Amino acid sequence: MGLFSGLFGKLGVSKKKVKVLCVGLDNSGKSSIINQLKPKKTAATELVPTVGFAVEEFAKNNLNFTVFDMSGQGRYRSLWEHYYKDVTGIMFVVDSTDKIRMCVAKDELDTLLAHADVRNVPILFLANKMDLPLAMTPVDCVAVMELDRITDKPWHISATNAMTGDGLDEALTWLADQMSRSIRY
Amino acid sequence: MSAPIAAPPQRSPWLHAWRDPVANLKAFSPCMRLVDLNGDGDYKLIVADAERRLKVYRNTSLISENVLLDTPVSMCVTYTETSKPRVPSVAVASGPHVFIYRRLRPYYKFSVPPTPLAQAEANVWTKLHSGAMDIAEAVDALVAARDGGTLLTTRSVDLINTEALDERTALVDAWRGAPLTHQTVITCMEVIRKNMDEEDALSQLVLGTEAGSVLVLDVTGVTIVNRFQLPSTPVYLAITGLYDVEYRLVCACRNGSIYTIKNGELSGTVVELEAQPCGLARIDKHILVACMGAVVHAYHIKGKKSHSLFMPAPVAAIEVLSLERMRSVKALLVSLHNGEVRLYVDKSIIATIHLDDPAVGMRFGAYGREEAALAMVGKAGTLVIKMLQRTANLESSGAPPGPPPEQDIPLAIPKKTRLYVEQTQREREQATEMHRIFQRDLCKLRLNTARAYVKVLTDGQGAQSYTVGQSVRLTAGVQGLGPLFKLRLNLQNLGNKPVVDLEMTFSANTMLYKLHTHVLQLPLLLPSVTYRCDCDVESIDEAGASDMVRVYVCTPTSKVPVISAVVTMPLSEVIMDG
Repeated sequence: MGLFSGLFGKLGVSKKKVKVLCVGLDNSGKSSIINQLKPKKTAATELVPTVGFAVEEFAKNNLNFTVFDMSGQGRYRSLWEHYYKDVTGIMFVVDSTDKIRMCVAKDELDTLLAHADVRNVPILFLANKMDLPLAMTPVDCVAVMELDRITDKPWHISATNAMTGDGLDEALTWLADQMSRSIRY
Repeated sequence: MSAPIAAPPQRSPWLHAWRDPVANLKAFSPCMRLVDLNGDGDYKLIVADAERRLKVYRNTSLISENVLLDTPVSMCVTYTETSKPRVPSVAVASGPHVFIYRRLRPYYKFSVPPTPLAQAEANVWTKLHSGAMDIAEAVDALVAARDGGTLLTTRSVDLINTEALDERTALVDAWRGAPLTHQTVITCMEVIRKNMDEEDALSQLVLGTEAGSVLVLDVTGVTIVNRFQLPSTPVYLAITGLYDVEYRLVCACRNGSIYTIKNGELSGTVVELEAQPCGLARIDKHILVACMGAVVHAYHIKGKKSHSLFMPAPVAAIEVLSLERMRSVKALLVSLHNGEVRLYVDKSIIATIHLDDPAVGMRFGAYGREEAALAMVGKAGTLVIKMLQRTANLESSGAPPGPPPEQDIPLAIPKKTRLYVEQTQREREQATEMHRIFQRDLCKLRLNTARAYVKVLTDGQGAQSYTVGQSVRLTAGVQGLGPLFKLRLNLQNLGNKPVVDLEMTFSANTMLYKLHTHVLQLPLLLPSVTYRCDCDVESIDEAGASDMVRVYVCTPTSKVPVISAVVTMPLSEVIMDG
């Protein structure tokens, strides 16, 4: 096995490893999204609020993802900044039904963007819970969170549903595309 | 020299979450609560509106609206059972009743028991109804009882306040047969936890009544477990501690005093305020009371005054900002009638929110899934929700009010030069001389001033003038023997600029002389050219007496004439008749 993997590695066939940071407010659906991305047999059936953080690994789009699933609870949000340095992509999950806390999400995003350790990595915004009746559209989310200010990093927003996986593949394809570009050079 | 370093403009710790300008709410702080209504961690805002509605807000929408039976005075949230999930009861006090709602459905009603009647008052009413006393006598007796310190029933108060006799008779007839009761009403309500200091621990209601009593109900809200009598009506309650362990009820009363009930006993410490209280809060060992004079006083619980915070406008509401889960911060929120909401930590102001609609009701607590939210209801019914930044710096700036640190930095004074030393030496040796010179110069200055003053007074009085920058010479002569004379006036501009806008006026005794011209508009006076003007003067006095004619040259810009001249007229020849 070791022989084969070494061989594939030399030939450039083996999948590249990427580290992705998954952040967002509590109850926005970060763990659900990651759970949805994992292969069916390893996916958990029931999720509880993440404590601290969790590390998940899965393969998607010809890349090996290592995702740091951070807890979004107020008391753990200070942990996010320790991972900014060595990630190649950031997923920012927003609960699009939680209008009242959009200001908090925006504040956390501002803090993230202003942090010195955040390099020029792609940021993928996921407007989650799009299936719920009062959900805001991605366009509304862009307006409320003033995402159009971000000019120095590639970013993308998609509406997703972590329960069914709708919109996730398209979003992940964009992120994988962006990250594989940055790895190549 | 180092300039004082300006503090960098601090970001507001408040995030604007939501504003509904047409919420049309009518509520003060006691009628607003932030509560986890279903026990699912999603906090909602309940407002007992003065329009008799119980409104529940979740996220950015009104999710339910129930009709209340009476105008609410206060609303509290209690936990009456230990079962899970922790679903609270909502208690709404209105009139003499407390309506308890569970899952927003009416569940139970507690009524404050009637106060015992005063014997004197009961006697008056018995006599009145039996006819042994007429209405005027009854009113006099009731007024006497009231002045004697008896707390009268609403029925007696109504009777005293009705003026017309027929209306009084109608009232007495309407009440005939109905038993006289003294029903007091609830003025304020709070919650005390029973034996655990947790948000969802079992809790009991504490009521303040118009009759000046404070009632503590049991957990179910059915029976009164303790009753205290205060000298006045309590209007605000602030409660700390656990009922079964140790507790303290701080009551701000309508007589402008603050009483404390400690572990079942009315304590002897009374804080007497200078003005009526309009808000009460407790932070740790301090009682914070907002008074009507736009000031918030802080007292130690033992009754000693700690400090005062002076506000630029009257206080509308006060509320405690308390963070426990993430970090331990306790601060005071003060809403003012000018639309400001100030955040104070100890004595220093940390942040200010400016609202269009001054907040009359304020609650700080969890809202939605956010732990630190501030809900405010404005005077005009606006609902505003702000959230506290997670990383907000709520430390008081640390520097106690006092001299700034710059004061301790020595000034960069240059070294003493030789010139400086010599100058000081000279000043020391020749002080007398210097003083004399100074005095002489001072005298000269005074003399010059006096001269200038005299010049101002005499300017324009002579035949030649230098006032207002113009120098004009006037010479006058008289021709003729009388009774007709001719005044010949020669004007010459002695300056080097043309002079415009001059007028010449004449003045003489009208009994003696008749002037043919009174005002002459002078032409532009070119420098050093002599202008001649004439004026005919006729003597009208029969005896031919003589007098003076005054000539003034004026400009419209000055009150003082530029020049004046006095012409002494000769005696006039008298015309011989026949």
